[in-house]
Amino acid sequence: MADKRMSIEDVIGQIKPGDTVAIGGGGMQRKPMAIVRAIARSNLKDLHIVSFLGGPDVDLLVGAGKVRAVTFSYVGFDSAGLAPNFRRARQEADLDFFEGSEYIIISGLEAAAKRLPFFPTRSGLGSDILEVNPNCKVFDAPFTGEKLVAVKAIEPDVALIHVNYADPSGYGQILGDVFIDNIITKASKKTFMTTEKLVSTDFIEKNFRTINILRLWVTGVVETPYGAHFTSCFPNYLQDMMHVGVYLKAAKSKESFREYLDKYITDYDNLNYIARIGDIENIKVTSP
Amino acid sequence: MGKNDTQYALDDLLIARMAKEFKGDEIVGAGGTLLSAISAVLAKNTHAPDMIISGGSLNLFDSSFMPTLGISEFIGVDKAKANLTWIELFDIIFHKKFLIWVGAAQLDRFGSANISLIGEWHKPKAMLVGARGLPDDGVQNEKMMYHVMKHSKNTFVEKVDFVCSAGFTAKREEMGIDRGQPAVVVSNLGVFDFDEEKRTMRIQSLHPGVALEQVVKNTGFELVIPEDIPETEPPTAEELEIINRIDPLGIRKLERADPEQKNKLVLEIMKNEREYIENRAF
Repeated sequence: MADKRMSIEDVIGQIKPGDTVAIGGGGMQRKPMAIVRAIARSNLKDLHIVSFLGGPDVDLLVGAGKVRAVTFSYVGFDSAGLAPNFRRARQEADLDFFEGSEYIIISGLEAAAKRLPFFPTRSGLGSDILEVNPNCKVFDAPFTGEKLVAVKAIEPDVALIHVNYADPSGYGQILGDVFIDNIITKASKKTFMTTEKLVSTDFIEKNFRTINILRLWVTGVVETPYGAHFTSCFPNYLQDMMHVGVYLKAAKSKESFREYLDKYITDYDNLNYIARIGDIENIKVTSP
Repeated sequence: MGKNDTQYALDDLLIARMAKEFKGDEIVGAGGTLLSAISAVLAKNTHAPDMIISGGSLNLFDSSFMPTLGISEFIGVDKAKANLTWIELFDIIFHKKFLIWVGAAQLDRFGSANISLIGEWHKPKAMLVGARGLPDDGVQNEKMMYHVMKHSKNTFVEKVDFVCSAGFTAKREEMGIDRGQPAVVVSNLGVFDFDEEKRTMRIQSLHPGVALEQVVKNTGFELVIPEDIPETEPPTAEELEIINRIDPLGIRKLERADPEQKNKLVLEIMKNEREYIENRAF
């Protein structure tokens, strides 16, 4: 089987300015933050980010000036509050925004995963989403004539996900909420997967009932411990509430956020970053 | 707040009232606000044992759920019954087997709801979180239930800035939407439903100590006011006991804490969460 191991630099090298990039995880859970940080540090720009439940992924990239458009149903820090950089961009009407509902975004990605031009749903009927999102159109259903919404296929160039275990061939296992990582891998032209731990194919065979990601969709695998920090990665670590506080404070202005980026994200090495965070023991969870 | 010999806080009353809207069917129940999330757990522990609580994480489907700040997805690991996908969750929603209390930022008299933003969509005055699942729930669920934390003219408005879910509007008729009708609103002042003929918001009950004028003054539209307005039923001693048990971290106190109090509470809860994880009390 092909060996798809690569470095974060290699991943960055395969993303182009202007690309549409789908990001896995949801809110404060299992975001592929190591790659997100690497993009923030790279020369990439003008990205169109697709994140159905966005969190620090969207917020950090918007704050780093890497984004031209965001497709989302939600961007927030869950119980820690709102997403400051995203809000600022939204309120200054800086970027293009495509707002959907959860299922509208899923529908667009499902269409792409199924190689269809659109996907039908009732979601959004009667709402103002239909007034502001040009990728949603009401149509009369064949056979019944009822009103439905057609959601245009969302076809990302790249999907980025973070998993608990992956082997060099590209099989991946997600132990927590999968969110729609399995869908974005099929909707996107290429998928890059960071993993808490690289395992042998033997491990995958022993766990075949719970493998979520197929190697068919995966272009590259990068072993990246703490790759989701400061979001959580069940069952290994909690979201880092202390660092969330640091981040939210820094993100109060564009200037102080620039200082945050310069302080914490100096290179592509995730373990360097983790070392700068300090007390990582605080978020570790020993599996029962 | 207290009545008879039972002492309770407004939080407890809201939780107990919201719990009653989960009727006991074999459905998935959830709360989008801290208090309503606790209300779902209360319902399961009282009159709705068949209900499945959603709120932790889909990989721990039908496990025990406890509202927390940052560790909910780690609780109930040994009680999970299935590892659900989001496609399956939406199939559940499409089958009207999902009910959720939505924390509305704005509601109008017809029950149209907004959680996305304040101001104009293209350049909002204040961006909130986006429409999230509301445009899904609003056309699928058996009924819509809204929890408004602070009853004011900013939340009960003449016209919502962005319709995430249509209330009883012409558009609802035009689009042929026959689900997701607004049914009940709980605020810190009272409980509201919708007049069957006018299809506009009506006072159902006011919380103990709340005057009608206070509600009228803080509502940005004309409410339907019935002749007799009952008091919202206070929580029972049994309900209070259960609320204390299912919210051991005291998360419910956060929702109404003032900013200074809140910071202190957050730090305290974070410390307790850490201990909770350490002690494997789940």
